[in-house]
Amino acid sequence: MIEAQLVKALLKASITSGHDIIPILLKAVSSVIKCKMCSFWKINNDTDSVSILAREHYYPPHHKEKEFVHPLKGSLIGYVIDKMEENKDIFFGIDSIKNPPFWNYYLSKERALELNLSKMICIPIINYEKHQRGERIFEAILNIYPENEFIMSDQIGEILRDQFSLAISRSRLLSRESLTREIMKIYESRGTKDLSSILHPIINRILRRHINYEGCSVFLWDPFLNRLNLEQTTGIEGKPKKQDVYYYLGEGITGYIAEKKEPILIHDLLDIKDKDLLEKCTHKWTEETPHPKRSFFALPIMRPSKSDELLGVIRITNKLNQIAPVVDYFDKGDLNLVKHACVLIALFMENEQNERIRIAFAMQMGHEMLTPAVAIKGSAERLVRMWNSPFLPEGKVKSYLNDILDHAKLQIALTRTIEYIWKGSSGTPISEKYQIEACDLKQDILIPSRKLVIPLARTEGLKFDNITISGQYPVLYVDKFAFEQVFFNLLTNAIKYRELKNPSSFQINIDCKENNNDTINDEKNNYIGNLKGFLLHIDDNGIGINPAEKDKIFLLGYRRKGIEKTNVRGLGLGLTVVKKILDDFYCKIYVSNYKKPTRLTVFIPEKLLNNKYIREKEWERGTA
Amino acid sequence: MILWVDDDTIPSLRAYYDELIDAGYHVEIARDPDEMWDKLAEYLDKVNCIIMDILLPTGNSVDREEADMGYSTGLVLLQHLKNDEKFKDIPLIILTILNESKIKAWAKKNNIPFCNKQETTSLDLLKKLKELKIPPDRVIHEN
Repeated sequence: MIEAQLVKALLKASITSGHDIIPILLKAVSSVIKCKMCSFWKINNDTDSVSILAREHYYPPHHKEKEFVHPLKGSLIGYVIDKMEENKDIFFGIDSIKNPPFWNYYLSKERALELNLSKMICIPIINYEKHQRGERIFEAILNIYPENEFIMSDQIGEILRDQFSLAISRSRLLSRESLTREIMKIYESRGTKDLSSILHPIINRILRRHINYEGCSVFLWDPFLNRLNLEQTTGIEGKPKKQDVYYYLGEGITGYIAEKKEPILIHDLLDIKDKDLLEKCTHKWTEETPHPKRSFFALPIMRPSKSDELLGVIRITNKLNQIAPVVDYFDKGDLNLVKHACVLIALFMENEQNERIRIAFAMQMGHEMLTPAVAIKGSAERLVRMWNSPFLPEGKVKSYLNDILDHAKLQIALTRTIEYIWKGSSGTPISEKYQIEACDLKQDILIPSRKLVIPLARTEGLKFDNITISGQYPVLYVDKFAFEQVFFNLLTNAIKYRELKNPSSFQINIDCKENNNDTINDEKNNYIGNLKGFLLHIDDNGIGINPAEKDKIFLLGYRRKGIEKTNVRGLGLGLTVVKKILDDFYCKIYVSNYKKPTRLTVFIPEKLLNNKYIREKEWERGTA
Repeated sequence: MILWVDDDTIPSLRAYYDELIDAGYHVEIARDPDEMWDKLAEYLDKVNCIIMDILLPTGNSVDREEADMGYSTGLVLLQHLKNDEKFKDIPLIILTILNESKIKAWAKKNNIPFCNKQETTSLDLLKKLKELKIPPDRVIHEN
């Protein structure tokens, strides 16, 4: 019986095949059911189009694009699908495609006449997973043009529907598994290869085997330059230098995706109806593609260790049909597969980015620490040489000795900053990082912090008296040196980011007042909380903070956009240390005004007014 | 007059600065490229040597990308000076805290003395000026 033959042939085919299961199954069908032609089409429900996945007994030339990809609307497949959605039949039988209304919808009339096609059987394939959930969604269709004597039955239809439905699901799973294995193999054998070298085979070979596309580029987020730099590509039009290809946040479609941290799928770049999207699609750079650009999608790549932080963006242009170089449409399945690949790629990217930050940090740190050391050495060398010289003016000795002392203190403060960064990332429990004692916030912390910045203020020609402290200050149970670091760094920042053109306007005001459960909002009126404790404001008349950077300023190594134009030195560490220490002590810091004055506010909770908190379980926790 | 392009603070440079002043040199310090060009315009006829740091802010006159975000601003400036008819004959010295081989190689290729702040004492700098035959602006009489 034909049903038994069919089952046997299909089972044998499915056992022996890999993830190109559909062509093999189709071959099995045509070996049992004598037919003039058969074809298997995938339905793209996002774009209402169909793409050929496999065909037997007829192989059209590639320039006949409709034989490979065409819209559902106005096609015979579309007509059949509409009819099948209305009824619950297993298959749709057509006695002759040349009869109305079928012939009106038949797109390849030439082919029908050439092959003398008449009878047609269409078996829509239901999405297996959705079917299990009770949904009836067609994701493919099997078309058979049998020899005239063949008699179709519901049983044959069911066998074909179920086997192909399972095959599609299995193919999806196998594809994911194969992709994972291949990418992990690259990762395991990476040796000393850099990110760019690792990405090359992934986007040029591995990913392409699963989704055939013409162009792909991967961008890595640079936290120092605040932009997405091109890391690897299949090719960029115009063949620019790699270092010239980058996007800032919000710039073009790539920067837009980085900003929103959401994927975007554009079915047809030539048919974008959304005006905003059309504007964003004015790329600076586009992938080299043999065909005009049509289908496109891009995904943000998120950090595995912190899922809300961006690592990069991947963008892919022009899907190609599986069996011919004809431009096809991407669907959500493609997006999900690339998303899956990105989870793995993100492992490399995070490692690479951390390494770059570490190297940049070490370079900067080396320079920052060397400068006071060289100054100490220079002053000491002159003193040693000229100590007994009659030509060394008396006042000079004191100058040199003061320079040595100031630079030594500065170096100690910088070293302490590094120490707190190291402690913050070492996994040491908080309770072991700090020594808690009763400290008057003003007398024991703020005033000594102000003294620490005297040398910096003096060398910058600023009046130390222009740093004022006012308000009511509590006694806190905290680590005195840690909190001294907090305010040393906040004051240093305010000095560094002052208005250089108007030195006499330099002013820092520190004020403190109690907060009795009042609502605390930041500058954009975002709710922080209704909290009891103290609010400490640090106001300065400096260059201000860009609202877009208000949270980024606390990131390790972050330097403000354009800061290389000024003479502001620094590791970009200070505010990171500040935030880390304050977080450990349950405090909050936020920008409460961007300019005139620039105001940073520190909220100190009432629990720090006594030392009971150090006996709580939470204090024993590791670093965040 | 020596035009010294360095954004470090005076106390950091004091040892070198005082050595040069005591030896009779007039030293003008420019803290960024913009200030350098302003001082060159003001003192061109008097400048007989330029001492250049490498790690400098880019200011408004140096391309950030070209200067690698400030990490090689000095090299960009030196190249501009060498390519400019008005300034190409002014003797140049590199005085930097960086000790990178690529900077040393660039200096050697362009025949510019390279001095590293970690190893170069103030006396060494003075000796370098004498080697280049840069005369002081006033004569110091040592009794």
